[in-house]
Amino acid sequence: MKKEKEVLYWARALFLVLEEGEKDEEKVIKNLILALGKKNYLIPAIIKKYKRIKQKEGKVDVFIAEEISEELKAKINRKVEELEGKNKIIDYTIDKDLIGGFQIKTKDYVVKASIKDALTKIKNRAYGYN
Amino acid sequence: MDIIEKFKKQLEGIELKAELEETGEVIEIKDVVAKISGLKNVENFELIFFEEANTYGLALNLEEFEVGAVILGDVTKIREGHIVKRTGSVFSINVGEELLGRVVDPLGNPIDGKGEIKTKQRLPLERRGPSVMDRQPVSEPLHTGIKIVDALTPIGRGQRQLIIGDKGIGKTAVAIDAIINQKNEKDRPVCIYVACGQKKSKVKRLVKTLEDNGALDYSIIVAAFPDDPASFLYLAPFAGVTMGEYFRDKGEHALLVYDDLTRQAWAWREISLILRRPPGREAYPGDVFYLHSRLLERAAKLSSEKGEGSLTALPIIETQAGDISGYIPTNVISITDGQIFLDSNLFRKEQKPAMDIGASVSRVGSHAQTKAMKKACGSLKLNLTQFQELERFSEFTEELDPDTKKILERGKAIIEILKQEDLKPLSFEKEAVIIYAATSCSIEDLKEEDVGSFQEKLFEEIQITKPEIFEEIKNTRDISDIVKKEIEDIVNKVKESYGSKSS
Repeated sequence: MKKEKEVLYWARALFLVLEEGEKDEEKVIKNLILALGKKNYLIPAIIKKYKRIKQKEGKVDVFIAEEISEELKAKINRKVEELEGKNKIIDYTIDKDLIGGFQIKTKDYVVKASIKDALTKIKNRAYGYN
Repeated sequence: MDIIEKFKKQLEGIELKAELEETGEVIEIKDVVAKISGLKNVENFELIFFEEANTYGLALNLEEFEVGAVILGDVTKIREGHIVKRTGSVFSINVGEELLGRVVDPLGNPIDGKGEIKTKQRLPLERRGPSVMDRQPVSEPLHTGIKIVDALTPIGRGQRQLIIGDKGIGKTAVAIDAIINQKNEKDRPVCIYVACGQKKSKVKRLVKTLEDNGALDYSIIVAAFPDDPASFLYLAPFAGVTMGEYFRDKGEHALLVYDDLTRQAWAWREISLILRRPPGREAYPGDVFYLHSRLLERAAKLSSEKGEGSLTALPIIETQAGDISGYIPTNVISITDGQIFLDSNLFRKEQKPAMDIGASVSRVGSHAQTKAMKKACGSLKLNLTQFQELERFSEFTEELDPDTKKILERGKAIIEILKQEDLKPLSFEKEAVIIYAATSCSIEDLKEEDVGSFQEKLFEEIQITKPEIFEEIKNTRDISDIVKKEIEDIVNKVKESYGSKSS
């Protein structure tokens, strides 16, 4: 339990350092090993956790109903930057279920701007849910 | 075409635009508590939604990177990594007349299989009790239909009267009698029974009892069972009081029974320990007093500006081996306006209800007693105290002077009169008559074995010869001197029919 938390903190620190735009990954890892000292056996676990954090937090998923122009994409990208800051990998996926519009999913937010969401809202209202 | 009209009406005012939803992710599940990352702007006591599991949760611990939330539903469906959404609304529950006669869980969902409940209004679960300005002193009586309670520890509307005692000696029976007795009362209160950690079989039996006695129509049962998540047990009393407050604020009356608060404290202890809040005495968290005080503070008699509604609370606490000095019992005793203490020794001596007269008090109810009742039990307490004092003394001596003997006989007869079976609440006027007979008409002349049937005979006799006595007491809520004389005459007549003691 305690070890798990330690790994999590190191991994988060590593993520924050590398996200800030530190280019020299090798140097950062070397420093990490030095800082860990005797506990360097934790390195594999930390790297694994780091990768997971990066996958979750460093990425923004955008779902679109159909292929859209670069111009629109740039607009969406700007909105994403507003929400989550720079240096995020923006991943576009086509999801025909949306019918029209788009959805943005980040770690902390979901932006719902699709026809599907509108329909869900109408359904909920008709059933009397709030 | 009316289906389209209906649809239009349903969808009135709906706004369709892009929405920004705040989400988080489950990182840990510990029994009933989930640790969630994200949910940056979540409020305390806000309802959150676990999308994949279709379950709600309640945010309780707001920490730097995490949120601790209790899960209100099936814990097994939630996995690490599930998405959690904010709902933006503080936890609230359906309230209204539609709930009458129903059995619901603490979230307001029906569990009696009688179909969906659609109410017009929802109220938040956590609300402050009314302020000092909005209250008035307790002034109306709430008759429980139990002679010993109404005579010695009267309950007023808006009072909080604790029922405390060991397991299995009739705590629930007192509360159920009180609910059943409301059937024929003036300004009948709505009765809400909160079963907190009670066995399913017991709740089932209770619902049937209420149904058989015609009391279910004006009752709501909020049930959280022992196999429900601890969060349900914790929330059940709050759900009950919120439903009661709806009636209170409307200017009506409500009677709430919390059965029992010990279990709620246990559930809150469980949740708090998993949330890693510091444990205190008996491992209860520091706010276990506040848990009960804020709940019971919501019972009140409202002022005339606020509609004069009332909310009476009868919390029940279970003790271990008659020990009322435990943590939770002392807490709740100090919060409430008095207690009915049930003693297992008396229960074994066949005194039912097994109320300990010395240890039971009512701090405000006597102001609310009707004149009739006040007149009837004028010397009752004195008689009983004298009797109890002498009873122990008399165990050591053979020879007794006539005065002492008389007090002892009288006390025994009064105790016998005050006995009452389960589910047989007496109407207020009958109570007044029998207690007046017990205190003022020398019932010690009766043989001991005759006292039990004396009550029935007396009521029969009055019903046949002078039924207007009951009517008058009921309407005037007072015993006039003429009525007193009439009662005395009839009592003497009934006594004669038994023959005197010496013969």
